[in-house]
Amino acid sequence: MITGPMIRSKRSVHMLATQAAFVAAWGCLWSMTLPCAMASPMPPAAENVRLSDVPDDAGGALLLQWTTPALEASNGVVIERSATAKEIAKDPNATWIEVERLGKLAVLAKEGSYTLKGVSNSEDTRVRVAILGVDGELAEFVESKPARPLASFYAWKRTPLLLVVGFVSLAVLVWVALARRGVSTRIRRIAALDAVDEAVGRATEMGRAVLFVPGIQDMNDIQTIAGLTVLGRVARTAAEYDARLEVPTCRSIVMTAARETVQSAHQAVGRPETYSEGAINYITDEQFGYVAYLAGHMTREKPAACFYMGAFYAESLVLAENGNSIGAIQIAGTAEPSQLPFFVAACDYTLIGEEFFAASAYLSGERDQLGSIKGQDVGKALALAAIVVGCVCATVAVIFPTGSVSDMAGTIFGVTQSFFDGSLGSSGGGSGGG
Amino acid sequence: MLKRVIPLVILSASGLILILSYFSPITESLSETVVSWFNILAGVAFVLGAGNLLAVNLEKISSRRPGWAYAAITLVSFCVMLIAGLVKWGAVPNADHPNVHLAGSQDSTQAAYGWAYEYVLSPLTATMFGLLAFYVASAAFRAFRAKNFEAILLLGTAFIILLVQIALGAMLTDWIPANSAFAFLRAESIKAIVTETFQTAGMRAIMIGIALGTAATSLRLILGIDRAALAKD
Amino acid sequence: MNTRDANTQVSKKNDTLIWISLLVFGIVGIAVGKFFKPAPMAEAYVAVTTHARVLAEVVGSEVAAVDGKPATPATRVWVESDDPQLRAGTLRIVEGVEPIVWDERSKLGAKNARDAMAAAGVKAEELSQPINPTGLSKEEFEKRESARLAELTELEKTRIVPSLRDSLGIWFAALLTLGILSFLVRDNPFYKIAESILIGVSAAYWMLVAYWSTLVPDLFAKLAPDLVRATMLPSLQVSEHPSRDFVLALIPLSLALMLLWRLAPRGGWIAVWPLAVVIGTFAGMRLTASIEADFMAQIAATMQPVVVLKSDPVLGDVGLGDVASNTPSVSLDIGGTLLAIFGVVGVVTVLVYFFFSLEQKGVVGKTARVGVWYLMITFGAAFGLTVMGRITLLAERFSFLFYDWLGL
Repeated sequence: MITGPMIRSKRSVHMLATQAAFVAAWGCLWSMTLPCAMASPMPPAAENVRLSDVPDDAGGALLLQWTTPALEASNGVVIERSATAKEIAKDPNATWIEVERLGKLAVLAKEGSYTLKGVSNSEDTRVRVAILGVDGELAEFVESKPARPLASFYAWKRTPLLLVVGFVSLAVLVWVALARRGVSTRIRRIAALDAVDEAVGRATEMGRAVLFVPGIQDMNDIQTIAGLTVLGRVARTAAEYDARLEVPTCRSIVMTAARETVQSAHQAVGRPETYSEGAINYITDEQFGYVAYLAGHMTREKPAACFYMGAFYAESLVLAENGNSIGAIQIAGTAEPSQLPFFVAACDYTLIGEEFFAASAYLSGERDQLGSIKGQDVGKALALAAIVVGCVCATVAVIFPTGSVSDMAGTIFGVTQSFFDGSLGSSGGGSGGG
Repeated sequence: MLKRVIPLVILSASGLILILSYFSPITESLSETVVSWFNILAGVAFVLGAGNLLAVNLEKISSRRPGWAYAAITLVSFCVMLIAGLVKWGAVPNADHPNVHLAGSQDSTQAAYGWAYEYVLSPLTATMFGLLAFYVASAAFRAFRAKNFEAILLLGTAFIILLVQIALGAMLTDWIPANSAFAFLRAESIKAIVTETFQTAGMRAIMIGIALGTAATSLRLILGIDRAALAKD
Repeated sequence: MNTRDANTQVSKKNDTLIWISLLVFGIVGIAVGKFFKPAPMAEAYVAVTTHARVLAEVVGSEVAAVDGKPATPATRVWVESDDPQLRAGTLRIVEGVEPIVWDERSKLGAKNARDAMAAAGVKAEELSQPINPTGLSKEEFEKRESARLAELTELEKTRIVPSLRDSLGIWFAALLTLGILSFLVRDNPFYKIAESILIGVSAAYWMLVAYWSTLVPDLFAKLAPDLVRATMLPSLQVSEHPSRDFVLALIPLSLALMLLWRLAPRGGWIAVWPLAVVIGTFAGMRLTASIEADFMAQIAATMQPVVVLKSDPVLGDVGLGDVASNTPSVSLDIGGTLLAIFGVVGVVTVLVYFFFSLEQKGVVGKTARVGVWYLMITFGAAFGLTVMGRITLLAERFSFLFYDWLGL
């Protein structure tokens, strides 16, 4: 049909050849699409359309599932939901509202699903699904039974977490109670914390200041809070020794909190009159502005003891190296793993991760607090036990691939691991919603 | 009472509410709300920070303490930047609302704020950051002089990792056949072994410890065992 | 104590010597470079685009007053003065409202600008054309500009001009950069000036960020939406629940006011209340989050078999075989097994190091010692991985000094 005029054109052999190839390709394409175009029947309608509540959520979501009978004849789905009472009040003609038009991906497998979000919890919703054909024609809509999202009061999937949080809390509480009854609360020496008195004392002797840097994060970081609890202890020592304590801060709220803390410390040791707000100042929120100030300040004022307790980032090394160059005793504590290397390399003492969080309790020397540290150890024992059980069972399952021992080991391993990685609750608790 | 007990009660109550809310889908999003409240609180608290900055520097200037001229520089740059940014000095009008001046954008160097960011703040902070290269070198140099085994282990690992990261490491170990028994000594395998086995193991234990420490610190605060931060007891 | 100070003195002297020689070396290098390749310093160009916007109304969008309902005026929009809808008649210009004309200048790198000029066949010296050449009044100029702009295409509206303020900026940035770098030699007035400027500007910067991106949209816009829409955020959406937003915004506001009460002469103790709220809520939040994301997840990740098998390369992957019964397809992967064992041993020994109840003596002490070695390797690896990044950062600063400022 289109070949005639093209072949008749006589320009050059080359042109002719190109055209011939073109025509052949076109013909090929045409013949390929022909049977398709002719045989594109309406795809069969979706089957088994179900609508159910999404478990373990605050409501507002429904799970739609359907079966696509003829995958090759389907090119997508159209999902519509019934109009809400509010929408009908606005526009009386509203009945069905299109939610989504999904492409080929939605009908690659026989079982399709889609989560509707923002559904009203207070009324029933119906959903209908129509399969889109290859040429965009729409099969008839299949309607689901009405459903209503349920708000769960308890997230079943978080049961393992609840158990572990409960275990750790209980361990701490039990140890606090035991400590009150006089059970020994001896804990191992932490050299960095034993050095606090020495550092503050040295600063007092030399008539120089004690510098306390509570990190560069705001009060929403637990490390800053932990840093302030350490500040409370250091400030008591400083107040007792009558050492000059300086706390430059990177955040306004931290400044306010640090003032409260230091003031409390002075009151606690019975010397409220020696407290002065002027030593606790806000510098700037900018990480490197703060560190530029600290670097300059340290070089000029030469504090004899420097404490870095809180969340630190790249500035850690600038601080530690400057402190080193002025010969100050430096005690650092942070739970920022990326900065620990620099503190370890450049400070006299470093509290690593958990040691930092235990610092305030250790320094207080109170039985309650020391007891709570022992509670922490119970948590670590749980971790060790779980790791050992998990590893042993996994290893047994690998070495003996068959047999009852292996089955048991495999099961224990599976349950333990899914308990800790959170997949246990989310697979098992589906029926518990509502 | 108002000064001592109530803050502790508030602290415990808000802590317990947040812990429990995580276990119910209905209240799960409470933490997001609290974070947004905190951001507002931190925003308003800047008044305290700014007030303190002004007070400290004004005091330095008025009492002619050593370095008062630098305090004046801080004060002037702070005030100029703050005012320029609040009134959006030189801002490019918003194309859809050119009549609303404060809707304009001040991110380009055309606006005073954008200029200060581009030519003052950004180079200054970047250079402070860049200084770290020197500090890394001097820290490594000093730690090498330390005589204990731990310091040598730290620096030795750092040195090996640094070597295998650059071309030199590969050059030194390329002669080891990749399928021999000594293939693990090739630069890329050394890096993989150190980072994927040793570093991962160390990190895991550190993270477990940090998590327990965080939990215990939170508990001590919420249960009122550790009152160092707030209570005037 | 004395030896410590003496050591510091010596190392400081050494440091000073090193840095001074580095600086001298740098300056000589720059001078030689300048001699061989003279180029202007701190070159800066901007692409200037002139915008002219007029206020127009959508034709036919007004609604006349019907049974008691007041009339709604036509929808008004600001459009480019050459908007095709104006010509098509779907928009009409509102009479009596002056058009707003402004220049938008976007910074171009010196190289980009030169390339663009070369492509257009223009030399840098010819670019000094001022934006308002003759002594026209502002109104006349704007009128002429909008007439001219209506004839131009989008591309032609943009022209490249040298920018004095950006050149000044580069000078300023370079001097501040040198000021900070000079700290490596010793503390000096240049560093102090750079430091003072940095503190002032950055404190204001973060306050402005908090003001424009948190306080305005999340607090003011909830408390007084109409005012904020009229003055600062014209595109602010109309809320569905304005009164609920208002009440919810009062919570952080009242906490903030309590915090600010510290400035008042009496009753400053109330500032502790919002602090207690902050500490309590975040302590609660981090408790569950850290147990879930760090404690439990890391334990789960550590649970791995400490024996690694490999399948025979000839027979292919036939699944886990039985080592005990010597199934031929599977053998022990010695390297993998060793690494798996090292991994688990590392986690266990470091955890033992963290035990506070146990004195680090005897077996516990030895185990903890191994744990410390693991920690040192961990830190060393992190140290080594960071160094290159830090050197890159410094190199960027030098590239700014050499290329952007000195024009080398």
